[in-house]
Amino acid sequence: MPADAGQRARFADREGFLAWAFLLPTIVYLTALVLAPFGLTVAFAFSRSTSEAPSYRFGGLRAFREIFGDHVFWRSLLDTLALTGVAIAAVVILGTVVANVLLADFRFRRTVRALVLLPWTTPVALSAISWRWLLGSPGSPVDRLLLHGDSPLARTPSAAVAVAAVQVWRLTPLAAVIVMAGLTSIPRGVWDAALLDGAGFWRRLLGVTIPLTLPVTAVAALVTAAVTFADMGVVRVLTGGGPRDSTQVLPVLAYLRGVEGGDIGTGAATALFLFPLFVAGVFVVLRVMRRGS
Amino acid sequence: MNGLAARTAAREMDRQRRLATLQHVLLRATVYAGAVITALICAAPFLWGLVSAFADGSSPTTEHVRFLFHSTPFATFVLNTLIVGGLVVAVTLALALPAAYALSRLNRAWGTRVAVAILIVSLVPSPLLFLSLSRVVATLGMADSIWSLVLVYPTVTVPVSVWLLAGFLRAVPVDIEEQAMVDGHSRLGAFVRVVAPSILPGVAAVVVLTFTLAAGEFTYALTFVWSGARMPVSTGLAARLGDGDPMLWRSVQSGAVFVALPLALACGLFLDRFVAALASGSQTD
Repeated sequence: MPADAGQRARFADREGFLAWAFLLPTIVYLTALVLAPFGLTVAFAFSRSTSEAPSYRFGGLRAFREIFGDHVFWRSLLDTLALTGVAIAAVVILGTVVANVLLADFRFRRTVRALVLLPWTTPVALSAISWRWLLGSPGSPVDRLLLHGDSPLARTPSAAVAVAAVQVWRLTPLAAVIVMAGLTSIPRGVWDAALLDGAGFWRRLLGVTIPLTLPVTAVAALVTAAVTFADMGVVRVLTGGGPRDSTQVLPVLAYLRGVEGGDIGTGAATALFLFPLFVAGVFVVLRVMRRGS
Repeated sequence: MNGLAARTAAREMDRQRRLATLQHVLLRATVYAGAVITALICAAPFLWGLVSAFADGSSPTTEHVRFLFHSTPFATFVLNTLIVGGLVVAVTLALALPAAYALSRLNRAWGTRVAVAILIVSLVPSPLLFLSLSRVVATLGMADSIWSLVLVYPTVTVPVSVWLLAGFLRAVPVDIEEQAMVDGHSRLGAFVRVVAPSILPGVAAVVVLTFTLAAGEFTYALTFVWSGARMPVSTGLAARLGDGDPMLWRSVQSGAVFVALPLALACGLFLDRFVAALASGSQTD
């Protein structure tokens, strides 16, 4: 007996050590390349650093004064918020529809599943190139539909609609996979019980499906938001922010100011306005986790 | 009288059966229509890309594809992406496997808090980091080289992989691991001999996902690598389109399809696994 207890104690000690040894590399890596750079971005937002003179020089609120006086910044802020909102709503609804389609049983299921994954697995810049070609090239189906008028990417409301549509197209499969997980984890018994009670389609939808898949739907919405407001690829490749900055978003503007324009301070200050969106995302994560446990 | 009732009942049953058949046919038709429409919308830009890359007017041609491989650095871009993707997969597994094991098996009081912190880190948007990280990359002498991407991409792939792998590990019964330890294997031996083989399909799924994320990343690739032949395919193809030559556009379309199809097929193979991992994650946490 004592031998057994001693072994167990040694084992427990080793587990504590092992847990740390196994987690430490990941924690160190993520601290060095996510947390520390984030702190540096905050510091850069209050600096006069440029790419010619990248060493840190404190600049107070200089960068913020500059971006507040820039109408493109306000335009980008609004566009980023609107785009994220539209994407969440459309992706959650379409993702639920696609999830149900993918869970249904039919022939050529594998082929359809691979095709449905295309928008999400293809590098964003490449699918944006393909969409630009489909929407803007002479002789394309869209061009013929519009009777060879201007490309929808060169006009004002349609360019913004195209950016939102491509973003929704790209993220719907990801949301569908997440919702599929939620639907498959509903225990079969719950359905049968609802059926036995004589619950109709709407009653089952509102009383069983929606409440049980709500956490997973929240996760789908969160992932959609996080990817949409951080994305540079669609706007940069599809419209370049145009026509006349009408589709500009914060990440691309931060790149234009901070990298192409060489003003690191202004670029960092611009990017910092994505932080509230990130905090909102963290809030949702913590709410979902608490509800789950 | 009795005969009439029986006949009415038979007719009623017949009607019901026909109704059920009709309902069934309608439901199947809806499913198929939904599947076809979804697949078409998802593949639309690539279908048009294929048509315009291989058809010249009405006659088929391979001219644009030959142009892509001979006169553009497409093959170099793809090679760069393969190297970056392969190395990122290796780094990601080296970091995420032990971390996932610690979180799912070595029950610590702080385990859940660390897991949530890792999840939150994965939500930090890359635009908040790329300006600082480009300073870090420059300081380390990795500017304008694919090594910068190998260094930075695991910030995107490690958190996701830790979560998925922890889900797969939780699905392996602890008993079989304990049995192996009772049989005289060390904890490490039990992991290598018993646990690792049973999560191998899950690891394969994580490998495919990590590679797909690395191949698709845009922000860091755009910021850190600017010389033509050093770019990965995600930024390289877009950068070649500056002059708007329609010939080049057609070639680039075929390039996009060559990259898109293998990634979608590989991820399609593991779709059920991703769904299972997500489902188990949503239940246990």
